[in-house]
Formats: sequence, C-alpha cells, structure tokens
Amino acid sequence: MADETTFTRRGMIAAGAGLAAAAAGSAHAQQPTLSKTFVLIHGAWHGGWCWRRVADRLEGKGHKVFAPTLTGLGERSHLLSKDINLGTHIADIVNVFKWEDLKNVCLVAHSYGGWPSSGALEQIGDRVSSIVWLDAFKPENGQRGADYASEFSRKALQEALAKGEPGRKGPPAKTFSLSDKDYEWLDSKLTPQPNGVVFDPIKLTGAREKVAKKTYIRASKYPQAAFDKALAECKADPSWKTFEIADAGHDVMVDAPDWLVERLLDVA
Amino acid sequence: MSGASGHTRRAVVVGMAGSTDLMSAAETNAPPPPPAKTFVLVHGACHGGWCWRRVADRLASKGHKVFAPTLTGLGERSHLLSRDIHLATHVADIVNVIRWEGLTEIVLVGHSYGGVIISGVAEEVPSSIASIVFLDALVPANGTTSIAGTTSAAVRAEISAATARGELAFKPPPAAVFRVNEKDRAWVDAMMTPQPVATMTDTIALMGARDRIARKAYIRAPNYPHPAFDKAYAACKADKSWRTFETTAAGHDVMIDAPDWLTSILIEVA
Repeated sequence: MADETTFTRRGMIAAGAGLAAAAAGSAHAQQPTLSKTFVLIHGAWHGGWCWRRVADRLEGKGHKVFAPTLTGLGERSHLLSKDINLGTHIADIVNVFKWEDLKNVCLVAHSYGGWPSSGALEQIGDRVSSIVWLDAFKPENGQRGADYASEFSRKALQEALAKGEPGRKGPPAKTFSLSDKDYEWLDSKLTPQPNGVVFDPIKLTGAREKVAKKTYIRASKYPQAAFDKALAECKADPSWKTFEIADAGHDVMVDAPDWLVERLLDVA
Repeated sequence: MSGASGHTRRAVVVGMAGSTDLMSAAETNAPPPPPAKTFVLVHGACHGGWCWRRVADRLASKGHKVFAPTLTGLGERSHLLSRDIHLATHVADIVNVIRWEGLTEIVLVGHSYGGVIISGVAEEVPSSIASIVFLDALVPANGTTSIAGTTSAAVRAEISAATARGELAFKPPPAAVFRVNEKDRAWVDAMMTPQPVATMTDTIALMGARDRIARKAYIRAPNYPHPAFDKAYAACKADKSWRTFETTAAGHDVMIDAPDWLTSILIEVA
C-alpha cells in the first residue's frame, strides 16, 4: 500500500506508459489513446450540468473531465448574491486548476464562459495547452459584459437591477436548443445569472492568444453579432482553427454532443 | 510534449490491466463488467474535493460516475469563505449537485465532518440514495452540533482559538494530526484550508432518514484516535442493518493513505 500511494501522478504516468507500450505490442486489440484533461466552462444561466452528455462521452473514452459550476448558478444557485462579480467566476476556474493541480489542459468555454475563462487564462495560461471557444464571447482588455450581452440579456438586466435583484432570469430553453425533447429538462435546470459579473472591465494582457492551440466553434443558427465578429476574427488569424455547425442551437453540448466530442478530441 | 505528459490515466489503467490480464483475457471470455454506479464523495473539515482524487480516478477507471464537490468556503471554493456559510449551506451544496445532475441510486460517502453533511442530505433526498457510507466520520444524532464533544480535541482547540480571535474560520490542524502518511503530508498541508466555525456550531435536524437507507456502512481507521468515531463504530457493529470495516493501514485520511483498499470497499458496499 505504501508503495502504491507514494507513486506520484508523474510516476504513475511513466510506469503506465511503459506497460501500455508493452501491451500495445501484444495481442491487445485496442491500442490506448492518449488521455487528456478537459475543463468545461458553462455559459450564463447554465451550470456544469449542461456538459453531462459531453462529459460522459469523454470520460467513457478515458479522459479526465472537470465541469465546475460557476458561483450563483445551477447546483451553486443557493449562493446567488450581489457579491458575485467577474472576479468570483475567474477564481472559480483558477482554483479548480490549483487544487486539482491540472496541467496540459484543454479549456472549453461556452458563451458567457468566454469572459471568466479569458480572465482565468491570465493566471493559469501555462497550464493550458488548447482552448476551445464554443459559441463564446472573446473579450478584449477593458471590455465589460454589460456592453456585449444580447438584447434579451440587457433588458432582463435592467429590469432585475430596477427591482434590486441579484440575478436575472434567462430566456426559455428554445432560445438555446433545437432539441425540443430537451426543453423541459433545460427549463428545469436553468437558473438566474448573477448580475454583478457584467460590470467590471476585464483585465487581459494577451494570455489567451498565447495558448498554443486555439479553436473557435460557431453555432451559426443562433444570432449573436459578437460571436459572428469573433468567428470572423479567428478565421482571419492563422493561429486559430474554426468550425461551424448549422444543425445545433447555441447549446451545442446539448444538441450535438457526439459531433462536439469529435471536434474536442481533434483539437485538444 | 503532449506525448509524454498527455499520456495519462487511461494509459495507466489499460497498461497495468493489460500486463496482468492479458493471458486470462486471451484464454477466456472476460465477464461482463458490473453495472456502473454513481458515487457522491463528501470531504471532511478543512479538506476539499481534491482529497478524493486517487479514489475518484480508480472508480472512474472502472466505469463508475464520481462526483466529489467541494463544500463552499473550502479548497477550490475557499475564495467564497464568508460569515454567510452555515451547516445548511454545505448540505445544500450536496443536495443541489444531486438535483441538478439528476442523480439516482447514489452511493453517498461522507468523510469525518462529511458524516454530518450526508446525514442532512439523506433527510432531503432519501429516495436518491441507495447506499450510505460513513468513512471515519461523525454519525450525528438529531439536534447535535459538531463542536459539542464530537470533533477531535485538536479541532476543538483550533475552533476555540479562532472564536477567541473573532475569526469566522478555524485553521486546519497539521496533516500529521490526521496521521497522513509522511510522504503526502506536505501536499495535504498545502491543500487544506480554514473551515467556517458556524458549520461546526450549527445544530443538525434529523428525522431518521439516514437510518432508513437500505445499505449502510461504517469504516473506521483506528490509528487516528477519536472517541466519537469509536463510539459510532461500536454502535454500527451492534446494529445488524450496518456493515462495518476497519483499516490499520491508513490514518484518518483513508482516501489518501489507502485508495486501493477504500475503492474496493466502496464497490463492495455500493
């Protein structure tokens, strides 16, 4: 037992690699694929729950998946308060990397998740080898979420602020998904988005652009001018790969999990 | 670069399994894998989801689903430490994972202070729980607090010191107090974070849901001296509706000191 537990992760990897190589040379039909670590960051009104189909598929292939829920949302909605700001959500992500000691990660950000993920990369950029922006905001230094939110979101924000509420309700599931059989499930899980995250200008010094592998995925049926602009910028920049999907709504992880998992494994 | 460090758990699992199972797999048809289970692992005071990593990896590699959420104010959630955190916050932390992930037939495991949390969780979502496991844990009675005689002397001393200073959280005792194996002590000391005092002074309301769960197990690590755990262990041993196990190959942090042993026990009682 002592020997077993004193094996560090790196030690196990080295030992495992040797044994895997031995096994691959033998009668074992299935050659093990290289395992990756994915950190999946959800968007506004969503939670770690929205990644379930993608997480299950990735884990089924032997990959490691972390899909933390940002403070105040989903399973963390009992923590909703006016104290939650963009810094809270950045720390939510950074601290998963620190406490789980994650390295060589593929960081996937959906929608609003592009804001805290861009901020987090300033602190943990050296632990990330690939980023995937999934129909996501790609903010520049000094921008504020309040200035780029959808028309619906801005209106809901003004109403919630007028009423003194800490969060604002999201739109119905049909806004995000083309899969009508999932609407009941989605509507039952969506929670108010904390208002406080859209007011602080984000501080960026270019860590996101320094990540070796960068991918932008656009769900073209979902209208959002900021995503169209981000896609166009990424298309014009040879350091980004781009993909578009027409047969999924904004919630690509819900509508097209198999397609998304293939893309993620391609670019991780 | 990705070739070396990207070669992770799956390779380890397949590789290691391959080295021993190759012959038998070639000779006989491998039996179908047992059905996958869903484990929800609840850490103890001053710990976080991080402490379950070895056990979570082992369970996941056998095809099981594992959730090891970190309680608010601790570990990766330590940036949320505030006076608003109560025992009820921690119970909600777990109940909400179960609700938002839609989990059923759960194996609910609580370590140490986590025993209080899983007892509270059982009251709120009893029909979601198939099996409950107390790992060197408190098994609280209705209306009790963790500080009133049930926590260890070391933890009580830290709580008194924090309260005297007017601080909202108490410092973790050194890993050595928990009898963590020597090689892991520096890591555990680096990961542990202060625990909100209110979570130890709030009373828990229990109506017997825990005891009605079909499968119940208590695991004791007696190398860690703790009279309340000894008492809980003895009570479970005397009750035919509980299964009991003990290990002297680990300190209090059994998931860190003896992950293989613990994984096999969890699968056995799942």
